[in-house]
Amino acid sequence: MIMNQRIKNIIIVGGGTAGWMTAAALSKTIGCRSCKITLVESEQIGTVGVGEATLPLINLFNKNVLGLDENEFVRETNATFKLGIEFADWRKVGHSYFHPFGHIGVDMDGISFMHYWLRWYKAGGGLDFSRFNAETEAARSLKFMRTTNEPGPKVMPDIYYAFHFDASLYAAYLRRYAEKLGVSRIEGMIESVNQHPDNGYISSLVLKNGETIEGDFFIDCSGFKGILIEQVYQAGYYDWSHWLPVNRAAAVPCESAGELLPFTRSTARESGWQWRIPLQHRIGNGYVFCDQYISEDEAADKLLSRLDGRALDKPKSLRFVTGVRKKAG
Amino acid sequence: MDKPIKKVAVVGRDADAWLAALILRLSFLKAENPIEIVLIELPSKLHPHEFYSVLPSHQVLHKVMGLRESVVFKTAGQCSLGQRFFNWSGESTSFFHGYDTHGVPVNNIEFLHYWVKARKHMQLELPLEDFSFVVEAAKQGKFPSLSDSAAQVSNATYGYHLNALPYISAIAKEAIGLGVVHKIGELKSLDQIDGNISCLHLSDGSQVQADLYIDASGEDAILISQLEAADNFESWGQWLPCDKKITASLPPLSPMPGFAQIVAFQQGWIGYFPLLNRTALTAIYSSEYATAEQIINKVNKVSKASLKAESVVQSTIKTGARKKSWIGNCVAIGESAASIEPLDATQLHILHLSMLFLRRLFPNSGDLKLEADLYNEKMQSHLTNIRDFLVAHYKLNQRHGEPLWDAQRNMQIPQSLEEKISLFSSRGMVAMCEDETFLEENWASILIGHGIMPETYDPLVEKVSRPDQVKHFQKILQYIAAEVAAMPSMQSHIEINTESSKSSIFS
Ligand SMILES: Cc1cc2nc3c(=O)[nH]c(=O)nc-3n(C[C@H](O)[C@H](O)[C@H](O)COP(=O)(O)OP(=O)(O)OC[C@H]3O[C@@H](n4cnc5c(N)ncnc54)[C@H](O)[C@@H]3O)c2cc1C
Repeated sequence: MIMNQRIKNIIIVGGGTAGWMTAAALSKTIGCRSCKITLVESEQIGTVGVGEATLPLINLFNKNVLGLDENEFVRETNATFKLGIEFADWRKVGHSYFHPFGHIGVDMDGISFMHYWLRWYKAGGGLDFSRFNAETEAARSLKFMRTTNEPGPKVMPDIYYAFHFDASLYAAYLRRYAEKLGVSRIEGMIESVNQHPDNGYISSLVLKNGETIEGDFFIDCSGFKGILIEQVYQAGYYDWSHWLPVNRAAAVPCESAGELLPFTRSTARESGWQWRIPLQHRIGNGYVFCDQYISEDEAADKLLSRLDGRALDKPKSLRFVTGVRKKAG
Repeated sequence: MDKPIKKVAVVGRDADAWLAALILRLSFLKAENPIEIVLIELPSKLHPHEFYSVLPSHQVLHKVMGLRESVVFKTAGQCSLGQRFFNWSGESTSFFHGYDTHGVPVNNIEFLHYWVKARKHMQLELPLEDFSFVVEAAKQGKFPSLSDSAAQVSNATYGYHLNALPYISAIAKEAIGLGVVHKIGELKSLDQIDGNISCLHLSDGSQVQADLYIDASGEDAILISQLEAADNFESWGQWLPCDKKITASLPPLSPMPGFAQIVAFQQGWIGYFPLLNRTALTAIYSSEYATAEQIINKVNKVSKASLKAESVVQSTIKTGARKKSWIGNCVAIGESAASIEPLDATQLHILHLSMLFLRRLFPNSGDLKLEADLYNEKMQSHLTNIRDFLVAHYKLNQRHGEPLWDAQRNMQIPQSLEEKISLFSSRGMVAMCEDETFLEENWASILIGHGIMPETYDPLVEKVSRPDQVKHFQKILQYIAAEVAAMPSMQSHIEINTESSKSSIFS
């Protein structure tokens, strides 16, 4: 990119959740009139396809940035509502606690509710703080509602929630959104990169079929590999494995079973933990583990034996190293 | 030593000591196990000329203390909607730092960016401050109360100019009335055990023992200076060179402005702080470049006054801060934690921060190490940001050919400030740090005010067409004019809030 010139041509590399969220956000905020936005992705490589459980901030993105209609989004992505996360068997087998979104109690006189709760607990109150948190109570009775904005004094605290959704449906939904606003999409596998001789900035991407794609600003959404940020620029990686040793996952969807739970469940297992993410049409499951303690085959078997419904596929295996890139740009 | 705090000794004088004693007393007044608050009052240094210029945050302090605003007016204090800076970029230049945001954002992009574009490419001549409710209110002598809709887009607020002696007397009366144990005395010596104070010996031969000791003795820092390492006090003299202060009183102005005026001159600056019964004046200067006599002459010339050496109060400023203001069982608060010239009305704000964190971290056992570490970290982080805000005024001055100002313009500044200034110069963005006292709008006010015009602005500004932007600007100006027209005058606000027959200053 030549300095002092406006950015005219943005290239997004990758068409997973990250790529299409970026494309949607940029086409909405910057727009495609004065600036061209192109997304390159390779079907052959595919996407991770897991990220299905979210945090309440997703609402800000969907509503405030993109202006999505929440009901439409829920319909399009087979989403369900999430009030928090149940941590089962983490402290010890048979014990579980709930991490709710939203506030616990009310701060009084500038003092955090936590301190009042501690005093109450020390005076003989129970350890369960659920009665001071609407989300926990609702999750326990499998209920959900949105905050009502009725005039007059508040009778209930605001309700904080997020979603479980089908990651590939979400990407596809945002793809339609972004393409409607003018984002163009190129299918192809990036094989190499041309850099500006003076400053090392990327000037174009070269695809397997020989096509070159020029741009003046590149956003790397290529997932774990980081084909630009790592393979071109060697950003480096802070490895967090010594704190978070899990490095594999076996993931499999199963049929829905029982009542729909408005929360994610995370159950501690012998060599890691298992997620349970209920969607409208299925339940997503995965066993996240450390290969030092259990083999991939064994983990997949364990996972299959611990599903609430019939498995809908063969377990998919994923590999990763927890950590963060040293530089993001 | 694993017992809860039962007794706190505050050792000090004037604002720091009385406000701290009252706040601590109130904090534990209704507690099941009340804590005894003893104030050992050192001889006051307050002179009738003295005043405090305080930030809007002082309103919060009043709320914490349950004080009505009338305490300010009954003691002849006045509201301050901001500060008008004169001559910082050369003679006859001025800008207003009002306590407010500017304009109304469009498409989630700050108004500032549209203003930069308009100034650079659309022939706009209006200064940024013209797009602020509070500045317009200040110029028209209004009290900045906003309608509900204006309150959605503006942060208009105000601080105070407090008349030190009567204000502190009122606070002291309440503190004693609420059961603060008051002892007048002077410290002779103190005993220590393992880096903790174990006993205070006063000059009348009496002793005071407490579980926690609050050093509110101002720059003398008579308690903590006996516990700290030699390099604990960090001087900021290289960035903030003024080391002398002259305080005096002039007759009240008519009409009385609801803001301060800060006028730069060759060896420092002169501030005018309107109070209901007088105008408090302070001259802050560097002894390296001028004598007190020269400054008094200068003040007389600038303010058409005839002050004499006997009719002013002279004092020194030891600008800087303690790296640790909580050591062992001793917490230095207010001016004994940091001493900063009154250029940005931060004087009592240091005390405010001290009390905020002390209250939040008030110990519940004898081992104070964790609390002290966090307290020191937070205080230092806040103080560093305040320091940078003040240093920016000196660094960005455009008074060429005057040794003090030339030196400060060419000085090397802390990296944190360097980064702020260069990002703002390049794209009109304020890089906010954690623990800032001054918000984005305050930074923008002074950076723009001192003459930085960002090279570029947020490119998303281009989404709004020029004619639409002009319309938007006109609408904002009309909106501000209509709002300000509907505001009560400062005069009537003060009258309504002083009249009340209730003599208590508590709400
Ligand atoms: C086991 C596991 C569970 C997770 N669970 C959650 C969760 O519950 N919630 C959550 O928020 N997050 C979760 N995450 C994290 C989340 O899945 C990922 O951060 C996110 O899905 C990654 O999306 P992405 O778009 O960055 O990458 P990907 O989905 O990997 O997409 C990469 C894209 O880049 C393209 N690409 C790559 N290389 C090339 C090339 N050479 N040429 C062209 N195109 C290329 C691919 O085609 C693809 O389109 C989980 C992660 C793991 C490992």
